[in-house]
Amino acid sequence: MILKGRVWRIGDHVDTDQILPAGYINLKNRRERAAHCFETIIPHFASSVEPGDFVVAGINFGCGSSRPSVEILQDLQLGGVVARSFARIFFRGGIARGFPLIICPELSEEDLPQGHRIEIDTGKGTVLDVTAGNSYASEKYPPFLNQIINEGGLMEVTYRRLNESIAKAHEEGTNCLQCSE
Amino acid sequence: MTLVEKILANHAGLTDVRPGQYVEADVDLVLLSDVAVRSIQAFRELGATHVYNSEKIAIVFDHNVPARDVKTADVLRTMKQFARQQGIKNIFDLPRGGIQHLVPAENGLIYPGMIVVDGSHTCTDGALSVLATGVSAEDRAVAMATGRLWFRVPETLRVFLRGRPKRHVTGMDIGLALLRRIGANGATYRAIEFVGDTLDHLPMSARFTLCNLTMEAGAKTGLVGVDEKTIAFYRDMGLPSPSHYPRSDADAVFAERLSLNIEDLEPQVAAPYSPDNVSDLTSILGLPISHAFIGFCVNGRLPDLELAAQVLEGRTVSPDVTLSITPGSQRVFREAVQRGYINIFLEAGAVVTPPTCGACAGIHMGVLGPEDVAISTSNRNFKGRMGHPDSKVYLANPAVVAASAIRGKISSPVEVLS
Repeated sequence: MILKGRVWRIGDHVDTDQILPAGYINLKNRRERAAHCFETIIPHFASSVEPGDFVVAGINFGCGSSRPSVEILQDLQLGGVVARSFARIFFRGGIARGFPLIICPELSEEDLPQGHRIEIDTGKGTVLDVTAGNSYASEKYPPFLNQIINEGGLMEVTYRRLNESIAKAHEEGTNCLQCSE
Repeated sequence: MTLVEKILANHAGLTDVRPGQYVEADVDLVLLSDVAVRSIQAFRELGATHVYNSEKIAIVFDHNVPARDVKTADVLRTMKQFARQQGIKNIFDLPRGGIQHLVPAENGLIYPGMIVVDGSHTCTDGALSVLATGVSAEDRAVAMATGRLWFRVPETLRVFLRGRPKRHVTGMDIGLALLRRIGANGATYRAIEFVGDTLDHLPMSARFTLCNLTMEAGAKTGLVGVDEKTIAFYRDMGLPSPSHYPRSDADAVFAERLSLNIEDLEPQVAAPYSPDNVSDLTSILGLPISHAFIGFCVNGRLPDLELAAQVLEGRTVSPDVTLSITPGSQRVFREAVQRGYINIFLEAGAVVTPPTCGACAGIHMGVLGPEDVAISTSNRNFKGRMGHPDSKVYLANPAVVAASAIRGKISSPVEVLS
C-alpha cells in the first residue's frame, strides 16, 4: 500500500489526554469531539489538518487511556501515524480499525519535519521524505498481524466471521448465537 | 514458563508459548466502565446482537457518576439497557459499586489465573495473579461478541523488592521509584512480575497500587504470584478461596531482572508532567499547593485511607487548600465510616466524594483551574490530566498528601506528626 500525505510533527510520549482531553470523550457529535484533538499542543490542528495528513511522533505515541483515540484521528481523515514506537492500547486500536500505524524506530527529532510531504510504502517498509529526499526504514508487521491488517482490521475480520457463523448456523439449522430466542 | 506465559498458554489451548508469539486466547472477563459506551457501539458495528457469554462481562459506572450532566445521564441509561437486553447481571451502578479497579475483585469476579480486559488501569488486578490488561474499545467489543482476543505473549520483567519499607513509605512510593528507574516506556509491551520480601511487609492494598502504576511504565500488566496474603484477601472479602492457580516456574526465562532496595527508600513525588518525573520528597518540600486529593483506584483502599486518617486526626487542613478524599468503592467508604476515618476527614476540613474517577481524570468533582497546583495520590499528572493544561499535579502517597494539605505546601508526614 502506498500512502501519501503532509507531516504534522509532534514529540515523544504524546498521551491520550493530548489526543482528546477526557472531558470530551462522551460528546456524541463526532465532528464536535474531533475538533478538540491535540488542542493542548497544536491549538489549530483540527481546523487545519487535511485529509491524508500524517502525524509523525517520537516514542510511546498514544500512551494513556483506552478512549477511542484512533476513531478520533480517523474522524479527522488523518492518513495514519508514523512513530518511533506506539503505546500498546493505542496500537491495538489501530489494528482493530485498520488504521495505518507505521513504526519507524530510526527517526530522530529532526527527521520528517513539520509540513514536509511524505510517501509511505507499507509493502517495502519505507517512509520517503519527498520534500527533503531522505528515506527511512519502517518495521514490517509479523504475519499474524499482517493478515488482520490485510483483511481490513480486527473489527472487519470479526464482522465477517460472525456473519459466516450466522449463515452457517442457519443453513445447518443449528443454534445461532446471534438470533434472539 | 513465567506466570503470564502460563496464563496465556492455558487460555490459548497450548502447552507452551514463547515471548513474541501471537496467540488467540479465551477472555474470562470483559470490564466496561461508563466511558466504554464506545465498546457497545462497536459491538453493534460488528453485526453482533448477543454477547458470547453474559457472565463474562461486568459493567461498572465510575467516570461520570453521579451523572455529571444530561449527556452522561443518557449514556448511563444506554448501558443499563444494554445490560438488561444482554442479561448481564454484573452491572454496578454507583450505590453498590465504585471504581472498576476495585469493584469486580471485591465481588468475586477476579480469580488467580484469569485473563481480564478493560481500559487502561485494569492491570491493578494483577495483584490477584491475573493477566489483567488494557485493550482498545474495539477489542472489548470483539471479546464480548466472540469470547476471544489476540495477544502477543509479553516478555516478563522480574522486579525483586528487597527489605522492609520505612514508615510512610507505601506501595505508591515503590511504584514511583520503579518509574523513576525504568521510565514511562521502560516496560512497553512487557509484563512486570513483582517478587521479594518487601511484599510480605506491606498490606495487600500495596500490591494493587503497585500493579496499577505499572501502566505508567507502558507495561502490558503487573502481577504478583499467589501467596498467603492473596488467600487472605478472598477470606476478608467473604469470598471462596482460590483453589488452583499457575505460578512462574523455577526455571522460567525472564527478559530482565532488576532489584529495588526498598529499605532505604524515601517517600517519592512525581512532578508535572509525567508520572516518571520522580524525585525524593525531600527535594521538593515547601512547594505551595492549592489542592490535595486522596483516594481513587490507586490509593483508595482501606489501608490508604487509614494512613491519611492517622496524619489528619486532630489536625486541620490549611485554609489555602481544598482537600478532597475519594474512597475507591462504596464498600471501602462504608468501612471507612465504621472505622471513624470519614469523621476524621470531615473534622479536619476535607470534602469526601463518592467513589468516582471524576477529579483524577479531570472530568468533574474537583477539576483544576489554570493556576491550581495539586498534590494527589492518583496515577497520572500529564498536561491537563486533572483540568486546565496549565494546572500542575504532583503525585505522592496518602500520608504525604495529607501532610501537605495540613501545611499548605508539599510536606513530610514526619514533620506534621512530630
